[in-house]
Amino acid sequence: MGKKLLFSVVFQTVFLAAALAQEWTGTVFDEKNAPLIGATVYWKSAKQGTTTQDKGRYTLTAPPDRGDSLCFSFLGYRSQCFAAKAIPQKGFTVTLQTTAVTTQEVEITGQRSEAIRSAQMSTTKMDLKQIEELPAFMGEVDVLKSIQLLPGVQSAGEGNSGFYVRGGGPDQNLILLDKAPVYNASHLLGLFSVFNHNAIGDPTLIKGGMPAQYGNRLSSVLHVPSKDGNLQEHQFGGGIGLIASRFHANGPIVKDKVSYMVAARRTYIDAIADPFIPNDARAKGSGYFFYDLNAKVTAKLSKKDVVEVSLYQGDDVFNFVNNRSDINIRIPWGNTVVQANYERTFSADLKADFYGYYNQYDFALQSQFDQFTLGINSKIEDYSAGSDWYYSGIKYHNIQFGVQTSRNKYLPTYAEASSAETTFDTGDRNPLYSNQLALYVQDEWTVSPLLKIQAGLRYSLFQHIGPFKRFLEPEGGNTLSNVKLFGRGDVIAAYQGLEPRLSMRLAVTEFDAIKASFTKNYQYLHLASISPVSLPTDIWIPSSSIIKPQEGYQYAVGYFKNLPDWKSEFSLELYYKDMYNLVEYKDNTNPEDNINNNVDNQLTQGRGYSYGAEFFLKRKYGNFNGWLGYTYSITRRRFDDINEGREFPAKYDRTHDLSLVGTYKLNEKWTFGANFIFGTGNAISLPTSRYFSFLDGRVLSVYEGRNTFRMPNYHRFDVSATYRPEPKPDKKWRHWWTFSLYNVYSRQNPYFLYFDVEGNIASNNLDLNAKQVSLFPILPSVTWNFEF
Amino acid sequence: MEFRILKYIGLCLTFVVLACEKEIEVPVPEVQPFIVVEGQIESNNLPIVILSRSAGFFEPADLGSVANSLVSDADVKMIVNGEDTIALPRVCASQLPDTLRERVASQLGLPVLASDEADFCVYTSFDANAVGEPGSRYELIIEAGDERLTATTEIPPIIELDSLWYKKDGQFDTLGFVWARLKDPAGGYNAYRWFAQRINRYQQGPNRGEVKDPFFIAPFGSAFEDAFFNGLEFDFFFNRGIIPGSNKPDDDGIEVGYFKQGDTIAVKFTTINKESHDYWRSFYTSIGNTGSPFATPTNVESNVTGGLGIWCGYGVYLDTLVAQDLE
Repeated sequence: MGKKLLFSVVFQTVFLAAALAQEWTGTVFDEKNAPLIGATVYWKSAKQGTTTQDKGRYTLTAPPDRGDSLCFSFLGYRSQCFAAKAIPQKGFTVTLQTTAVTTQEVEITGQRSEAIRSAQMSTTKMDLKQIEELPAFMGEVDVLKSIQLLPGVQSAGEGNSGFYVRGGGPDQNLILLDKAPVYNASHLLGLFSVFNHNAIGDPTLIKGGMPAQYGNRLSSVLHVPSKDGNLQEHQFGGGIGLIASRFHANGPIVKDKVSYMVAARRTYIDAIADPFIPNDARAKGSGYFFYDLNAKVTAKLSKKDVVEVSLYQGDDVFNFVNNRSDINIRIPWGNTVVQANYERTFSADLKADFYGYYNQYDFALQSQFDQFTLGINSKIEDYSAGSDWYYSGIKYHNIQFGVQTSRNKYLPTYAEASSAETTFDTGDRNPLYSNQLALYVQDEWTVSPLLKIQAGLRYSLFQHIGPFKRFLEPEGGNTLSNVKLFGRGDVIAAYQGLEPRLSMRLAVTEFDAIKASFTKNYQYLHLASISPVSLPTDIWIPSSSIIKPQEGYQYAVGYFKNLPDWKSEFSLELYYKDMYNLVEYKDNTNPEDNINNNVDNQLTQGRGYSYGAEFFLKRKYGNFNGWLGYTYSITRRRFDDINEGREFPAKYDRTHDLSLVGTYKLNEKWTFGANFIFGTGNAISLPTSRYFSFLDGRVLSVYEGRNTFRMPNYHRFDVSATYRPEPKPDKKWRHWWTFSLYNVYSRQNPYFLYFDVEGNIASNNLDLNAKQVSLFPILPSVTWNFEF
Repeated sequence: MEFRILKYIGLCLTFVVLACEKEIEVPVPEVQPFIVVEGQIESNNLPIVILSRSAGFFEPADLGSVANSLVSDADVKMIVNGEDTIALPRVCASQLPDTLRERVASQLGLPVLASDEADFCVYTSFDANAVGEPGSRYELIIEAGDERLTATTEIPPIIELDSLWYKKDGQFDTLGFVWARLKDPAGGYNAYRWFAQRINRYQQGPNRGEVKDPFFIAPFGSAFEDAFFNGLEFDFFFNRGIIPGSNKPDDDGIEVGYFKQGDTIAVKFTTINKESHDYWRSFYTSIGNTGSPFATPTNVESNVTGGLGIWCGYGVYLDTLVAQDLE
């Protein structure tokens, strides 16, 4: 038995050694020189292969037979095969030509997937094409809602695009549009994400084993790449849905060298409803809309130099008018991201990205009633620059290193209010300025055919610098605060630390791997939310002399397996996460407490931990695709100033979380999608007792313990169908319909619970009862999409 | 403010359109009751202390049960300025003649005192030294069985309103608010609470002949502090307060929250200390947060050691106006 095992290990080691030494790499483009993502690359006789990833790149192991041919295939393109002996093993590029005849996609098996090959764990790359065929809430394709279907990721609530990863808070997710973070990634109080799917590529979620290039967040990285324009010809497309319409265009500015991409989306409930509202209606003029604009220019200056400049602008605008009472309220909020990246390939082994971005999030409220005016503003500005370097000149090593710097300005809350000629004393603008620096180095080292290690080290430095006005707590029975002024450039608080990152993969067989990872992260930026749900009024605040950086440690192990016969892959991951200096508002804080005071004076810090097991079975190829994800997890918090210092479950502590997702391509015309979701009900605080106020005639609730109740379990089933009429030969025009049914069996899922009081005691008709509010019953939607 | 407005956006945009609500069963664990203090002492008025016990949320809440929640065996005393100790004995509605019961109920703003279905009791004193005086400090000591509760308050100096007037709202011809001009003293901390009472009678409708408001009513959010207007002179207004659960015709529909042209309105403008302000602010926040998914549930703050509730001193300024828009 022992000899057999030894033989088996030796045999597999030799086999893997041979395979790893002969990795084949390259890139697939279409005839317009745009990278093809998702193209199939396979060995002809073995029918083993892979699909192209980001920027059309592929990596696959050598064929068992050197005489085999390497084939490239993609739906709508003419397949091509090349004798293995005739092409370079590394850096081969191939261009596929479109064909009027739709060819059947090739099914491939038996290739070790990225999940097995890489040392990186806890990472999922979503297929945008598949996302587009899944049921969509109100017909709006939403990448953030789709990642909520992955194990270890939980939704922030019914219909909400906010997400929590492995017990982390919503501020612990680094949501990157290319290189720049997006501070508020949703519209309409979280119902829709800011990512227009016509403007982006496949998103990648990293929920553990975070590479050293990423930092300033404890829980996850969601990287959303923007789309490049076509270098050969102009393409147009769009869609008309129930609540929003989209249009996108891309094409060459200078053929083969410079391309553009523009995508825009806007809701139109306000515009459609307005003509039907009578001119004398009380709320005439009220309305809401949001829009997104993505624009990108990509210039291939040479084979070694590529420059990209892009813009994202998105805003929500709410207007409320009461014509009878002369009330006007206008609330705009949104993000602006401008970024530029210069990619330089110095040699086959060395390339670098040099980038810079300006990022702004702005929230404002302007209201007027009679002689009163009120204006509130909250703003973040982020100026950043950095460079990422990639070096593969040392055998068995892929080295990455870089530097990131940023200068930030945070205006948590600023208010102006007046009554006629009297201006209220709401204080001066008192922004917080910070400088940040991070240096990192990381090496993916193929130690042996069996063992791959990804080791990284990140150094991060944070400084809160002046000018700044610090409000000090009142002393000696005085009810008025003292202030301390800091001058321009004064270092008010500084934090720094080393963040080691380690991931390793041990290949057991060609199709099995065990992985483990450890990460330590610092987070210098915090989201302060008075509300239990994410709102645009949530305030981003940096660390300060009062608020220390959040600190996180995550340990994870996992077993990964390819199941070639099932065209599937499987993984089981276990994780434990410790978090320190988490941020919450103190009990009984009101929003106005932030005015003419420092927000951090209202905050308190505490500890949290989370552990769990994630099961993931994914079928990747064939007409039927999809996955089954299940998570068991526990998430707890403890703050000295909350719940009398006792531990309590986090709101999003979800013991069981199950997602079943599938798409089925019946034929070239029809594709069907479905998903089923089940989750343990959220933890919630409810009163345990009450008393009657004789002086005011009301019933008051008494809460004992934070999040001690549970809402009923959540489950939902959605379906979709996509109909693609056969395109006319030699015509570019294509169009298709997407039909969705959200919540098919119209389950009344709990959005929140509360204890209600009706009637009054003087009339002896007081009625106390528990109520459940549910948001969305069955919701049908239809979207018409087109391209030409 | 911004936060509250966003609540309305959320309500407008999602819940009104699509949300549905249903009653459900939620088991609530048994908890130990707390003693709740509701005490007040106004300038030129007698102290009143009501003691009750909290109950499990879904325990019976009829008049009899609420009356039974009153604490009847407490020993209550008040110390004035750290010197005079005055006992506050228990006085029950049944000890008063019917006509006096209604008058006392109206004066104290305690309609339950006039109820025939239960005998409600308060702790008070008719001692002349117990009458509230601005600038005085009042310590309350309560002993009930093994429990001892204490609280301290003061009656801040009275601050008079500069002027009061009625102004119609926007395009309404006969509906409006009561406006006032306040000159906030510069320097120290000041906080206020506003009450109003329509003392004219209904001329028509089902309540014809009744005084419109049986007592002073504090509108929702009636307490405010001078954090943003210390030492400033400015105009402000309040809408009309409603007795919780009222089903009068003008407490529903378009007239809700409005005074009507021709109303005779008594205004009670009071000064309170910071602890009292924080109690009332958290009181209204707690009630306003009920039923909102955007609000974090929190307990009402208290200045009572050993229990819940408030012991509140008021410096009272009284004025009256007739609702006539002069613009």
